[in-house]
Amino acid sequence: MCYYNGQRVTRAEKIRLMQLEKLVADFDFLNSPLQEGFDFGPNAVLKPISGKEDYDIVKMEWGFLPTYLQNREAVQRFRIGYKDENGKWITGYDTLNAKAENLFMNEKGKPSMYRFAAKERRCLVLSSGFYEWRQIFPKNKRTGLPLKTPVKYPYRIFLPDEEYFFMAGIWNPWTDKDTGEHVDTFAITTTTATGNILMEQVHNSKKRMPTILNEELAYEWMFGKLSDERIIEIAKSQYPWQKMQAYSIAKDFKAALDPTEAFSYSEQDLPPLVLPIAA
Amino acid sequence: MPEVFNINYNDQTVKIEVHDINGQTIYRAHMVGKHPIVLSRARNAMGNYFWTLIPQGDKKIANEIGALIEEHVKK
Repeated sequence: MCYYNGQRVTRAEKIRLMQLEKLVADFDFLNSPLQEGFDFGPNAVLKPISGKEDYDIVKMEWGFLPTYLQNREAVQRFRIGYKDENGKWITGYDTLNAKAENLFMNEKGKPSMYRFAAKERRCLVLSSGFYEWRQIFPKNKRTGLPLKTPVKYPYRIFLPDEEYFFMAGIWNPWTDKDTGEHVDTFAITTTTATGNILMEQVHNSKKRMPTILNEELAYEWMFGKLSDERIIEIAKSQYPWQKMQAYSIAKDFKAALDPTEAFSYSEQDLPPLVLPIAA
Repeated sequence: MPEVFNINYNDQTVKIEVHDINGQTIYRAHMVGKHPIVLSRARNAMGNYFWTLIPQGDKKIANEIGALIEEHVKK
């Protein structure tokens, strides 16, 4: 007798469903309109093949997971936070991004959780565009002074000359010790947006941007035998604003049928970006 | 680009992508804060269709989201 998901099925149907499982696992995940990672979903990553100057395009989970996490429950606590036995809230870790300057040493001056990956497991994250939030402080209608709470407007940023481009990443394999589930997880390295006229206006709260690499740096990032200093230097590199474009999108873009669709707000609510004419 | 539509499940908008894999239709459901799940229709030993997750998973979610997909497709 065969069962699938609690239903009695024929042996032929069971085999078909098991084959479908394999097909789904190998599914062409590139065929997805949204590579945004807020849901810790799968993304397309170029992963070097050990011992060769070649790579595979593989599926990895966005959100770097340290090896020591026991199971998905621990992952949830690690990412979101939890109350300890004294009722104190322990803040979770955001490991979607890894700051270039903290790849080897964290902000507290201690060895970073990313250090081995930065040294030994660098990868390239394939992207067609990414999303950042611009904060605007509306003015109080009575006093004319800016309000304390900003309104956030999402933007999509892309490279008009490149259908796909590379963002520097680091990865780590992770196994759920309870279920045996195995995934490769990754973080995108970020650099300062200060000096990038486009990104410092769009991501005006944190003034950060992903490390976007040109072909030459992408090759070096993946295959180079690099010193710690060079790794940080590449991770800190800033893509020229003249080769980037940004436009506003709807606030509920994640639920939209086409999340990349432009959405215009009134100029009073969202002043246009001020960019010099590129030489 | 896959065909995409939205359904409303438990007061949340869930984006559904429709994919054809080797002639078999699967539906990938994106729920906020969760891994995307894959649904498909299967046939039980009595010859009746039912909704299942691929790989096997929560039957309640499969039934509920499957019913909403079916409702949308029939429109």
